[in-house]
Amino acid sequence: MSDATEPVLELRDVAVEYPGGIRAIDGIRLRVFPHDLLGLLGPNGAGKSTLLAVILGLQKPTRGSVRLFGRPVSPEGLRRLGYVPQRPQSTYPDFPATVLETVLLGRAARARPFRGVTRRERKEAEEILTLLDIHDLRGRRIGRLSGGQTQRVFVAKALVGKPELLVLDEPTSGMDAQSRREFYLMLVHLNRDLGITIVLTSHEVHSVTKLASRIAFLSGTLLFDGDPVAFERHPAHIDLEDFPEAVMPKP
Amino acid sequence: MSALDLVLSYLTQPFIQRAFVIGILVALLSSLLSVFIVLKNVSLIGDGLAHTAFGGLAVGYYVGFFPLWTAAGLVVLGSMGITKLTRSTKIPSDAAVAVFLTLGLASGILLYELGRGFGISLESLLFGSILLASTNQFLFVAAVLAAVVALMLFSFSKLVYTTFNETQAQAAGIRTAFFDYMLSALAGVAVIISIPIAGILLIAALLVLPGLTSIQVARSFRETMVLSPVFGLTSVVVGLLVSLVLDVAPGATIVLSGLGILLGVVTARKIGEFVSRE
Repeated sequence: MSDATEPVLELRDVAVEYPGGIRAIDGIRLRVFPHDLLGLLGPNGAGKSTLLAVILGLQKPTRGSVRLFGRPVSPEGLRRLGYVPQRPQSTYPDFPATVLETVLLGRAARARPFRGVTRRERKEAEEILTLLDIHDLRGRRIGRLSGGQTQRVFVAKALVGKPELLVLDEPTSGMDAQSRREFYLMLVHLNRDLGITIVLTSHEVHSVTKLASRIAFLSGTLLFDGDPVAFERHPAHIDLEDFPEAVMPKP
Repeated sequence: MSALDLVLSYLTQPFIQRAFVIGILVALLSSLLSVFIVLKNVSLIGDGLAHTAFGGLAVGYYVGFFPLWTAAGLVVLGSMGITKLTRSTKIPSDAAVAVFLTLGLASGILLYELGRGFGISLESLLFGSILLASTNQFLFVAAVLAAVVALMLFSFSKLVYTTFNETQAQAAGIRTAFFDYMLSALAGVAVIISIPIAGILLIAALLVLPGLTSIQVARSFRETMVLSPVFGLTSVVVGLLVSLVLDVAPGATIVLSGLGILLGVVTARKIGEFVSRE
């Protein structure tokens, strides 16, 4: 388990530059502590997905470093992290797996050689499906669900791996207002009642500032990092609120 | 003599029995891999590797050194090359396959011509032949099947996750590159041992049709993995029987049986969906 005073995630002066000199993110310094619920806000094109790719070890930073659970990003560190991708329903829509089989993939990284799914692991997965209110979907094929249902299945898949840190990439995009509200309530429950540290990217300012314990605002560089109440008085908040879908210029 | 009597009389022959046993093992092997190959959208890899095998066999015959081993070596190298090209330079996998396919075919034809045909039947290599099924080959196929099943069981859930979504599997801490290379290499081995039964030109179908058919009807991944060998086995057994009756090369009849099963399954599914809507 993580020490409450040590960051579970630390970005040290991280920059990512794509070929052609396009700088996606620059000078990012960010620390995430146990039990944080960090809302990483920013307009489209602000570098949120690039930042997540760096955290997940999918993209090497051009400069700076990332430490996950006190060490450089590695497969071992990533096994303590749960990831919920953006629009997971676009994952192979005809993949012939049931909801329960998909959720059990969350244990794959920790699975021992020659060991199938144990009765205990299946029971735990079913409990998580109940917790997320999708137990009745367990036998359905994953490609036949709505966007909101698929998103919950992917949260369940991440939780089956017993993560200490849950990272979600714009998890409510494409959801209707009711599904979004229910989804956010579920995240608050996971954070406050189960103690899971959460980092979530979004450009939904109103909702995220209400549920997050901390806000980081990104637009190429980190323009704000602090309390949600203080963020409501920050100029970036006003810009983003007025033009939530806009692509903001880099400073 | 009726067709049934003819088939029954054939089935008493040891070399025919051997061909059926090898065919069944080949069907099991290729249909297990087929699910992953289809779901990873690399269905053409079998074609690319089969043509690489043709080049490899021609090299072996030309230099006079165990053609099957030369082909096996080049196919495994080819499978690594296709995976490497696809992964590192981000070129589409079908283009990577096309590079190796044409390289294998061109070098094979060149050496075959230079070697004046090596005194072998090109037709048998291209379309398959029951006469190529030897006892040594049976032992080889059985050993490879056992090794492939063991490798799959060793890390089944990681292989499934990598197939489901490579980025998510990587973000979960799975070394996905290993499973990509492993799947390609296994496909290469399956190609090599399937050549005598299915022939170079039709071998790719064995690595695609069973998985594709099972995905159409299975309600879960577990069902997909069970149904794929059932469909693969049926197409090989029916294909071999038809080839005996018609006295033709088995490759085409096996593939057409597989296509018939796919067509039947898709039609039955559509009828089922229509009836349930009414």
